[in-house]
Amino acid sequence: MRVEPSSTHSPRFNRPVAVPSTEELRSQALNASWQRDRRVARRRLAWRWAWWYARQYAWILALLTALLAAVWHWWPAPRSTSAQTLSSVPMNPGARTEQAASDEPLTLTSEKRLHTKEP
Amino acid sequence: MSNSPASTRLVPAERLSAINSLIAEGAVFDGNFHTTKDQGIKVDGHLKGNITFEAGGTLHVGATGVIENTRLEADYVFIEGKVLGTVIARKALEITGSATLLGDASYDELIDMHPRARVRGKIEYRGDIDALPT
Repeated sequence: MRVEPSSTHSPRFNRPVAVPSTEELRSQALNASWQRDRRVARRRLAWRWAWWYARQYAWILALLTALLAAVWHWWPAPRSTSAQTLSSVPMNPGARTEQAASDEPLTLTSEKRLHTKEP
Repeated sequence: MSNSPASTRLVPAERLSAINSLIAEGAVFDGNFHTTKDQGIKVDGHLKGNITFEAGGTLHVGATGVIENTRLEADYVFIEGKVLGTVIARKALEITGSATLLGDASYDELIDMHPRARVRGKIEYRGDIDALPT
């Protein structure tokens, strides 16, 4: 009995498909594999070198860091750099006396009292 | 696209290009591989077992490849990945900087170990140690 192909049969099965040859497939697989090898090997080798350098020269890095920290800590602190000391323009005398007055500690002595005796 | 394998200095590129068997990355192969012909195999996946080429043969362990509990024997052995076991290279053995070999390796003619290769085991030259250079 002859069987007719059903109408639901997909036409793509009838289409000729270019099947790659074994040799082509092999070379493509090898090329892809080599590319992946290169990527993985380069990354692994870079890590190995980095780790080796880090262990080899870790003491130099620690020494430099300690030196920088010491310099930062012990360097003489700069003197006052306020606008008053740096400015060459004389300040308003009133402002100066106010500034001087405000800088003095607030002590209440008998000489400074305006009215030491009651009238 | 590059048509040559990377970073080989000793194993001829033609030998690596002639490889005709591949254990792909992510695949696990449990068993032995054995042939009497001069063929080649590249391992990118995980292999638990032996690989033996009775005559000739090229073995390439890719950077992602892992071979364990093994005895590898071939003319040319090129290792970029990890091998746990014994390696016998009848002609040339090359271990790259990305490779790890935990086990003994022996070779009859040539050996090349790249900087940063990790080897823990014995390396043995199987030829005549007192022979005059040819």
